[in-house]
Amino acid sequence: MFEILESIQLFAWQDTLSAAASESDLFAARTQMAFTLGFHIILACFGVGLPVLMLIAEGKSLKGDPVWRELARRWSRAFAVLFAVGAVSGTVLSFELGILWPAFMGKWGTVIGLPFTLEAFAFFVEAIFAGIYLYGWDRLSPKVHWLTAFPIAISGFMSAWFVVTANAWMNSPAGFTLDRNGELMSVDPIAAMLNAATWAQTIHMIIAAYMVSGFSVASFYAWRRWRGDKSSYVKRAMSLGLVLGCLMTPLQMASGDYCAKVVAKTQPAKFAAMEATFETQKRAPLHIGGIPDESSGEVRYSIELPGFLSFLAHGDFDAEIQGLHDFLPEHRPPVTVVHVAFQIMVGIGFYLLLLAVWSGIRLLRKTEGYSRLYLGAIILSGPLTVLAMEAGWVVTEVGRQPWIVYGYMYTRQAVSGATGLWSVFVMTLAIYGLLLAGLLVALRYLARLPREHHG
Amino acid sequence: MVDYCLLTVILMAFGAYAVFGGADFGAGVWEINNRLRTDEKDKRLIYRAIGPVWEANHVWLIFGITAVWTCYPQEFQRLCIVGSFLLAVALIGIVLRGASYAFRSTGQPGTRSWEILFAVASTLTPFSFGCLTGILSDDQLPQYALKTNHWQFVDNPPIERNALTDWISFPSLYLGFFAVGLCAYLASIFLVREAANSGDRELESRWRSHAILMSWVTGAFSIGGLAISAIYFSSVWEGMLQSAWFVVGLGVLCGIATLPALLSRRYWTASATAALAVVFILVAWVIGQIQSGHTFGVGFSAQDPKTTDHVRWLLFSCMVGGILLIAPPMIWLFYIFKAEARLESGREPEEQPVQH
Repeated sequence: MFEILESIQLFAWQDTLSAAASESDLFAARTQMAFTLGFHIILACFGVGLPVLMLIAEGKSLKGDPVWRELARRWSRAFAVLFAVGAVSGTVLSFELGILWPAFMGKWGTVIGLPFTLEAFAFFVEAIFAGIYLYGWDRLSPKVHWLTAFPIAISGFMSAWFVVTANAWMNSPAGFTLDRNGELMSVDPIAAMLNAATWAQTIHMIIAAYMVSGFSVASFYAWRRWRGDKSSYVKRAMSLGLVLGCLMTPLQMASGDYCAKVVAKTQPAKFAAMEATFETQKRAPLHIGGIPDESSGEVRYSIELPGFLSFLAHGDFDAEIQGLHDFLPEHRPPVTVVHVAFQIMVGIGFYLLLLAVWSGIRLLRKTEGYSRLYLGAIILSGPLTVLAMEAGWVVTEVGRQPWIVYGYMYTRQAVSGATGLWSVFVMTLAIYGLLLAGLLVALRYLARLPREHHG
Repeated sequence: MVDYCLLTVILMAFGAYAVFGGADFGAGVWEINNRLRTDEKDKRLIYRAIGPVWEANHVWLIFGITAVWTCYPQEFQRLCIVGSFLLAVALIGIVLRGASYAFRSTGQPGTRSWEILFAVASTLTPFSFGCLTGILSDDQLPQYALKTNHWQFVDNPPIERNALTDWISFPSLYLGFFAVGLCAYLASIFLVREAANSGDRELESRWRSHAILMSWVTGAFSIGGLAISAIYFSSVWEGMLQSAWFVVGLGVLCGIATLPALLSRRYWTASATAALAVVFILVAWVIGQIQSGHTFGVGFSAQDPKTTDHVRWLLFSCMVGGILLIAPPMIWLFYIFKAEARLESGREPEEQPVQH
């Protein structure tokens, strides 16, 4: 903590020298980045998670079951559409990093470029094997074809891991030293990749990707079932998605706990904003829900559990938690957004945990048939998982403000000096609207193709 | 030393993007022509040719860009400031193309407008990349200097700048059109090969005449391009003549060799020479850039080699390792496609390509 404060003092001077971008332009650039990243991350989740489902379904079909095979085959088409659109939105992001945040790339590219390069290779591998998988259905033996799904799943996992290390580095910079003028003196890209936040963030995100894929698939087929499709095709698809999502949920709880501990250590200001803790205190209470009032420093309408926050962060009910008021006003993240987003994420997490427990009980009791309530709960789980994942990113990104590189570079120092960022954003919105429309129409078309096996 | 190794890899990525991505875009450019005549056969040929690689060719671009920003972050920063508008337009093209491709392949009513959008978007992206090369080669390239993390204009006397219109100049527009022409040229040659593979004689002869016409047009365009370089881009031009005259020569030879290959129906040879011609032009241009100190010149000197050289070696080894990793599956992928082409030759495809 002390080191960070020191570096803040050391680099605050740069701020006065940087090209003065207006607050409005900064906000436009941030909104655009948030929007395009928020769009891309959903597709990326399917790029990581769907191959696992395809792999399992096709694996089950190897003994000659046509329904599982058809499932895998139809999922692979949806995967192709999502992957192609994801490639497009990923291209946009790689440009945007430069167009919107030129100083960030210029200054830190050497430190943080390595994971991006490695991610590009992982993406390459995924694209190549996706091509082989899609075109190999009738050209490779079933066994070999099934084996080609493994590299897709593994490289999807790896590309998520690499790219999230880069984000973790922005939260917990490491692997470089600066001279007195703030110029890079030495660089260690491996240490930058393996920073203090890396394991917490990468694990949390990859599990989230599996949950998004699993629950979204389950949700889609639960909707089919709700509408009266009682085929074994729909039932199997729903069950498989549900199994993946439900298995991942408790793991995600554990990894979330670990994430919170890491954030408490490496980014106390973000932690205080997440938990809406204004004053530094021992035996800090955990706020469940509630709306923080930044002017009075109180949290309204929340349930308080005394000492629980200290316990969650440090494993000790009497540990001291740093409050926001310990930080300079200009170094505090927006509390309301971060706290509310965090509550949304955690709340949905508990909803999914309940669903997982419910599904587990049903499995133990070998319950047949689906009640409307259970189907409804599954239908809800898909969109809610996506919402939780987005809320989690809001916590990470908004919680880091006003920094783009925590303790070393302000976001406003990195933003492009170009004018007209708002009109660019409006244009981006319109174009992404078209992209989304194209994606949805293509997916709907695929979903409506007649099935060969009605099972 | 390490700079040249990295530059080679980066050039390979951009070269691959120019050839494969360029052919994708070019196929989209031909759609404009198709719209005027609406030939189902042509359309299916184009769809099938793009099909195998759909939008995945952007991986070359993503790789090239990440490599540039990792190896030459300050150069990348400058590129993004000088070319912000054109890069944004290129992006719009890429996004719209992806969206309209996904949409129209569903074959639903109303896809006609998506087809037009697809064609327009396919033209927009190479055009803006072409214009960008024009700006970067311009002798009047705005001068920037690195001041406390920010590139700033150092005009003397200061000039009023406008990001929306600064890129418009005769040579940059010419290069924009040239890039579109190159894409259409590449696409026509790749498509005549596909048409020959499909076994449809009439389709083959039609695309063969397209390709021959495009060879002449591109040849004329190239002569104009060289003349423009000599007039407007004198420093890059001199750099090219000094250090890359043989590369330019090879490019010209490959371009010329494409024509007899087409005439004698050696389509694989024609594809290879056309692709090489494009790559050689790109390589010569980059060498000219470095020699003239326009681009990459700063990246070579601004950062202390002691700080960054080991990072670059690390990157280079990762890249070589990565290429070794992806080469075998890539060869396998192409082998499967070729097997498919042989399988399908002479009969209708059973189903729409699955990736739609």
